[in-house]
Amino acid sequence: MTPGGGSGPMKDCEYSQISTHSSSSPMESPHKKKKSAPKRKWEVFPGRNKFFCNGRIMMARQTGVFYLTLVLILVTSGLFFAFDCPYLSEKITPAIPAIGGILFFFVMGTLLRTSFSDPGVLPRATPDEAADLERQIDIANGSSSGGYRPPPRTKEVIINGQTVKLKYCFTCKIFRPPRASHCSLCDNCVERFDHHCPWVGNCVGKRNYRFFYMFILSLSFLTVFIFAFVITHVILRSQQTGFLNALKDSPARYPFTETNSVVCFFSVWSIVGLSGFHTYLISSNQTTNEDIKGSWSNKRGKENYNPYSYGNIFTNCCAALCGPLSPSLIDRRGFIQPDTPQLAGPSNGITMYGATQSQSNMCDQDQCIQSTKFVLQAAATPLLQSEPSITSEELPLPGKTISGPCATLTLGQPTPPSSMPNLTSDTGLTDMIPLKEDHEGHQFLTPEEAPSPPGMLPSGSPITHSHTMHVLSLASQDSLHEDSVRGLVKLSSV
Amino acid sequence: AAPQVHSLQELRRSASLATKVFVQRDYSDGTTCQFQTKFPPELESRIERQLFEETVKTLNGFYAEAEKIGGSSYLEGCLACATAYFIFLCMETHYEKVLKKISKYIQEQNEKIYAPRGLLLTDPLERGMRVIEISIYEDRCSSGSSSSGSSSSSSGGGGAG
Repeated sequence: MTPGGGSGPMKDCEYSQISTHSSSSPMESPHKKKKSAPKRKWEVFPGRNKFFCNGRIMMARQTGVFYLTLVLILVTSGLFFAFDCPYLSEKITPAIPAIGGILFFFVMGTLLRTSFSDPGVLPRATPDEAADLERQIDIANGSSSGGYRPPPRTKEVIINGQTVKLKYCFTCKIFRPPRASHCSLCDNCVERFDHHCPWVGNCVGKRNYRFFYMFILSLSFLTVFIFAFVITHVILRSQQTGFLNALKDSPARYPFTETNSVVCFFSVWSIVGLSGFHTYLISSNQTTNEDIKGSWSNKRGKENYNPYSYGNIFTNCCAALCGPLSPSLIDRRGFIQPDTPQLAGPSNGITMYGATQSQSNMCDQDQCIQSTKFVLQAAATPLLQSEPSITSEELPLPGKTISGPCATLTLGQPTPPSSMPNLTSDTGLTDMIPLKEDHEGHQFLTPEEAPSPPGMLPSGSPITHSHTMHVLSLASQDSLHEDSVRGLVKLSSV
Repeated sequence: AAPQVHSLQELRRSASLATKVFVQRDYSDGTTCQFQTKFPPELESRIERQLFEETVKTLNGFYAEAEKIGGSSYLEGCLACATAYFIFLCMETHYEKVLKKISKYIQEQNEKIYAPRGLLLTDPLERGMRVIEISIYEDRCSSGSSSSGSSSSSSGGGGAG
C-alpha cells in the first residue's frame, strides 16, 4: 500500500486521470450487465400517481373529476365567447371579450399548473435511512425489554415556543416534517399538505398551493364575470323585445344562455366561498388540514397559537404567494442505474409496498454515489458490487420470522386515520361519496398487495443471507437480531 | 485513532463502505431547511469537530439564503404570477440557483476534506432534504479479520450477483 504522503504530484495526475475516465465507466458497467434502456425514476415511483409526457406531468390516480372541471370551464367559457360576446362587444364595448379572454387564459394556466406539478411529495427513505431510524427509535425505547408495547413513533419539537409532534410515517419510513401529511389517495407524504383536491386531480401542498389559490381566485372572477354579462345580455335583449320574448327566443337563437346562467349561478357561490375560505387560511398561515383538525385554535387551550404565522396578514400572504418556490424532490425524469436493483431485489422485496419501491430505494442509494461528482465516482465504482450485500444485512428481515401479510397489516393500519382529514377537507363539496369509495378501495388494496413482496423472496436468498450473516461484524449481527425481535413485536401487536 | 489519510486512488482500490451516518433536520425554527449541528459520535475518530460543524453551518446558511423571503423573492413571485406562472417554463428560480451553489460546495468539501479522510457527503437534495448522509469507508486491509472477511464475502457476493 503506497503511503498517501509519498505520492503527492502523482496523486494529482491520477486525480485528473480518474476524472476523465470515470464519467464513462459508471455508465458502461450498467449497460454491460443489462442491455435495456435505462429507466427513468417516475417509472418506478412508489406512490399512486400517474405520469405523462415522460415524467414531466404528474397527477393523482383518479383524474375523472379533473376532466369534468376542464369540460365545465371550457364549455361555459366557449359558449360565452361564442354567443354572448358578439352581442355585448357590439352593444357595450369590445373590452368585454378581451378581459374575458385574459381571465380565461389565467384560469387555464393556473389550473394546469396546479394539476400537473409536484405538490411537494417527500421521497421515501432509502433502506439505510430507514434502518438507521429504526435503530434510533429502539435505542430511545430501550429495546432491551424486547417489549410487547409497540414503539411510540413520535418525536416532539419546539417551534417558536409551541410543542409540535412529528409523526413517523410507516409507509414512507420517515418522521414527517412539521405540516407534512400523508395523502392516502396518492400514497405519498406531502409537505405542507393542504388537501387532496379531486377537481384538480392532485394534492395541494407546498409547491402548488399558490397556483391553486390563483386558480380559484381567477375562476371566481371569471364565473362572476360570465354570470354578470350573461344576465346583462338577457336584460339588454329583453329591453328590445320584452323579457318573456327574450327567454323564448334564446333557446332558438342562443341555445345555451340559460344553461350558462345556471352553471354559473351555482359555481359562483361555491367557488367564491372557497376563495374566501382560502384567503382566510393564507392570511393566518394555516393549511386546510390544520384548520379542520383545529390544531391552532384557541379552543384547545389558551396557550395554543400558530407557530408558523408571521404575525401580520400582509407578511403571511406574501410568504404564501410570493415566497420562494422549492424545487421538486422526487426527480421524476432522472435515470435509475439499472445495475444494483437486480442484486438487491430479493432482499428488498420485504419492504411492504412492492418491488418498485425497493428498486427505487436501491437506485437512489446508487445514484447518491454516482452523482457525488466525478472525483468520487471512481472511488465508488467497486462499491456498486459490495453495497448490495451490505444493505441486505442492514435491512430488517421480517419475512424470515413472520408471515409478510401480517406485518403489512400492522404497517398499513396507521395510514387510514391520517387520511380522514383528507376526506373531510376536500373542496369537492358534493364529492364526498366517491372519495369514500376510494378510501375503502385503498384499504382493501394494501393487504392484497402484501403477499407479492414476500413472495418475491426466492428460496435461495435465506441461504445467502445466512452466509453473509456469518461474516458480519458483531454490530450488524446485533441489529439483525434486533430486527427479528422487532418483527415478532409487530406480529404480537397486530 | 488518528484520521487515516487516503489518496483518491487508494480509496478506490482499498475502501469498502462500512457504515452511513445521518445528520437529521433541525425543525426548531419551523419548516425552514436546517440541519442539526450536533457532532455524530461515529465521526469522532475520523474528522475534526470544527470542520464538520463548519460544513453543516455553511449548508444551513445556503438553505436559509434560498428560502429567504425578501425583496427579490417577492419580485420573482409577482412577476411569475403576472405571467400566469408561464415564466417558470423558461426561467430558473432563485432556489434552484442556490441549490447549484450548494452542490458545488459539497463537491468541493468532499474533494478537499472528506475524501482524504475516507468519508463521503451526499447532497441532501438526493435524500429529499431529510438528512445529510455521510458514508464512512473502511480500508479493506485494515482493522482485523472481521472487516477483511466482510470485504472478501462482499466482493464474492458481488461477483456472483
